[in-house]
Amino acid sequence: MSILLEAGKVRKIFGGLVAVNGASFTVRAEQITALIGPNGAGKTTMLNMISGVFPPTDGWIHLSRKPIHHLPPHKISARGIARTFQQVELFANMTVLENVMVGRHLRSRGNLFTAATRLGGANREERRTANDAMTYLEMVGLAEVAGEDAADLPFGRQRLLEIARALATEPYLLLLDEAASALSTREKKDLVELIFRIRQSGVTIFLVDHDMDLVMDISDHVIVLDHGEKIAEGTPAVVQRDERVIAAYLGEEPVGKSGE
Amino acid sequence: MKRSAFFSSTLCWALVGLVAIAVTPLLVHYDIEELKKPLLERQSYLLHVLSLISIYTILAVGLNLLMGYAGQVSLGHAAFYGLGAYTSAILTAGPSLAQHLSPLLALPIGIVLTAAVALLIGMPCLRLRGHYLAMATLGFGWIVYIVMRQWSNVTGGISGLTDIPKLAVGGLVFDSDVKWFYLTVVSAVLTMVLSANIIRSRVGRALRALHGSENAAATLGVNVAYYKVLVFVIAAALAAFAGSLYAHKVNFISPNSFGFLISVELVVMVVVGGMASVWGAVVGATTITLLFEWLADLGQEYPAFQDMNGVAYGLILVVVMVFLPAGLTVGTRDLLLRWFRRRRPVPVPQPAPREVTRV
Amino acid sequence: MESLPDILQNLVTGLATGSIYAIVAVGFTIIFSSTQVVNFAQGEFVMLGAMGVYMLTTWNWRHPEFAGLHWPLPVAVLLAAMLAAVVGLLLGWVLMRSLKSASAPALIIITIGASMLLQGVASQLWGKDAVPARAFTTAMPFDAPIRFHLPRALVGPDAYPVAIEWQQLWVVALTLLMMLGLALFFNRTLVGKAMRAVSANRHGAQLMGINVSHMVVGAFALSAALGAFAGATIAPITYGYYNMGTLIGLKGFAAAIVGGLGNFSGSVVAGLLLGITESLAVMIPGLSDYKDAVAFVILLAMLVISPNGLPALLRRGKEAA
Repeated sequence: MSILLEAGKVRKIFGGLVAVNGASFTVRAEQITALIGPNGAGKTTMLNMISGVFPPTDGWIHLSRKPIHHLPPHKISARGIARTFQQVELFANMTVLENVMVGRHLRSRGNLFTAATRLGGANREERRTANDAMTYLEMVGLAEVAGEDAADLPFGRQRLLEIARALATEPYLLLLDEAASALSTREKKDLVELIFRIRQSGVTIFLVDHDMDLVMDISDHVIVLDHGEKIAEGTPAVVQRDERVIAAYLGEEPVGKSGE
Repeated sequence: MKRSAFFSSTLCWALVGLVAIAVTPLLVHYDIEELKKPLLERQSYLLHVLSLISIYTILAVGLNLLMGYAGQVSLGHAAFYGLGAYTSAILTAGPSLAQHLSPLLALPIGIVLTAAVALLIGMPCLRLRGHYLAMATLGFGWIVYIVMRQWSNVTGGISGLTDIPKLAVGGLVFDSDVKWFYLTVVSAVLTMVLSANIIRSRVGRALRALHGSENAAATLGVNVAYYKVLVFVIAAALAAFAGSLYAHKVNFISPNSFGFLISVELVVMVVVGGMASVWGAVVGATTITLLFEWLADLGQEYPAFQDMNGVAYGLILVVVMVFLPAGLTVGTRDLLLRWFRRRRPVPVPQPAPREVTRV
Repeated sequence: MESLPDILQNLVTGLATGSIYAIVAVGFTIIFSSTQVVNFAQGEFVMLGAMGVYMLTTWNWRHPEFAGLHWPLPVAVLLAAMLAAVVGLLLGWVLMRSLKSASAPALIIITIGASMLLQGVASQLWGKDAVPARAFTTAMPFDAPIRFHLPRALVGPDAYPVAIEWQQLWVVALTLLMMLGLALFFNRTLVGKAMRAVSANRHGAQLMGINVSHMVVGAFALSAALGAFAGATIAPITYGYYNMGTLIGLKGFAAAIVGGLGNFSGSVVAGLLLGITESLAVMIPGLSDYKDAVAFVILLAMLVISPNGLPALLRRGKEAA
């Protein structure tokens, strides 16, 4: 599998706090890669840097061998990276369908003039965008609530909506930030199935999560951070046996199934 | 889906709008002096008020795009209104210019100039969030107002500018209340249609996404800074258009019409009418304008009530904001929806248990 | 180059007005830190102080029976401050109720509405003309301003004296007193510390058993009283009128921003600096007409360069160095 995303000696310093300290890793195309680590290890910071929320203090991040670490979020989205948020950031002022339609922003046409005057096929474009958005809702199983206000959805379904919205951008790489947290067992099962379906459609997945069982079950490749540094990288089996990883987690959650 | 919601709310808003329009004749009847006047003069006053409402509607729709849909606060919007009016006035009748332009030429120049100012101010200021942006627009509004008052050579100072020529398109001169009524109402309706079109489009969704969550919008490819400045400039351009219309209609302007009070009035129209609803802007503009006309009437009839504007204004603001924070249209609609139990039940079908298939 | 006596004169004036801006800024800060609400009615509290004193000393309530209440000045000032505190209490209570349901613009509008309401009531009660206010000390030797000449060597033989009004000294003195009082209040008393707790972490304070609503309402009352004291003190210099609060409030607000919203000492310093800058700017040819705009230009510039005020800017400069 070819390398899709690569991080090189990435550092991030906030004031006096070193959040990420020289982390390097690779994410291969069409694989499921997980970023794990104890609380405060720098996982979300890393995710934020990949998605362009803020640039790294040092180091580089490449997508398909092209640097992206200096780009603002909307340009990174244009390059093919989409993400979900740990605290679900839906557009509460819109319906479920409209949320996903925003995801089609870069894949649809229309400027101020065509919007205001309805010339140049704006109505056709609207219908097309709505239909496209619908297919993504069907993919995650939210098609029947398309007309509901996004804020009215129960939490688990809001998570699914965020995923559908991110997928609507037709990304190469999907970043999932704690997508399984606060979900019921059943919801987690559905999420896992969805993730596999997404992978099958050709999208690379990079997820950050606390649920060890889930991560070890589905990942092809695991990266472990602790205190901002990478302490292990490899298959789940290799990582689970790594002494440093076990030490980092000692006193926290047990690392997956023991005696693998 | 969304269609039914639109219709049901249109009905509600139409109801509120109808009530507002029904109140209008009361305006005429309330003033006994007016009743004594011949029919033509009464009608002319009514048309004048409706023209004013239309002009305020244009302002409110623009501000609504900025505040209601894109979620940015502006407490200095009257400055753009004034910039449009003063540019038109100065170019066509300003004492500092040797040569004057025709109103028809001055109008677009005023819009372009104001849009340029909005661009200049918007780019640095729209980086600010929440109340910081509110304060920046507030400061900007005051600076413009003070310049209007103090730069007497150009703006006529506190007394303002008079003898502003009437607007004329070819042979058609806009010199009567009837003609202004048609012009302003058509302009207002056009503005509303354009605004509604923008909202139901890719651009409109991008704006609403800004309001929902700037972070999420950015990660979906929306250039946040660009769209914020865009909607700010649109709102300013619409305000300038309204300003030019106003200047050529009443043929006299002074800084008092464009001060902080007016900026607040505009915000009140948008918020009280109901943010994020095009009809809300209209209802807001209608309600507030009628309110002030009614207060002025009351003041003339009963001298004790003169200058009660401030008190009434403040009271209404506080009461409406406390009890209907979403504004009249949206708030009333929600109330009505709840009463008539028309809320669509949210279906939460339990997904059938499935095997997690391992690849 | 303006003459030194003029500069000094304007400096003194600036110090006096700056003290008022400082108090208003502190009032803003107290409210903002506990509620995250920007109180547009802050200037109106200043007005209430000025007009309240007038009402209790000179005004004759439009009814001949009440011809001149004539309270002694110190009592009138205290009563006016209490009246303002009550108004502040009411405003705080209304805002507390709406805090959850209303959006940020709605909250701002509520305070703007309150400001309009207060101005309207004031104009109805006391009319629109400026009202006279007696200086705090008018008996001899306080009946004439302090005049002194600068050394001849510095300013030349024709220079005229610098005149300082006693009331200006009162303004500065009272401001210092109030700042001292506030420092003691917030650092030494239980109530003051409780208020600080609410500002720092509302939920945490609640968990500690502090009644947040009471603290918030109290913060409003305190800010109002402070503003009223300021108003009572400045009225003899600027006169009192129903809409004096508008500009004072806005400029005080500008000072609060420049000093860093939520930063007490910043507010004070910024207020004084603003007053002095404003007064000195008048001396620049062509700028005197635009004196009021100075505060707003500074506000805009600060927001664009460093929204968190001068302290943040200085910190950035230190880090870069």
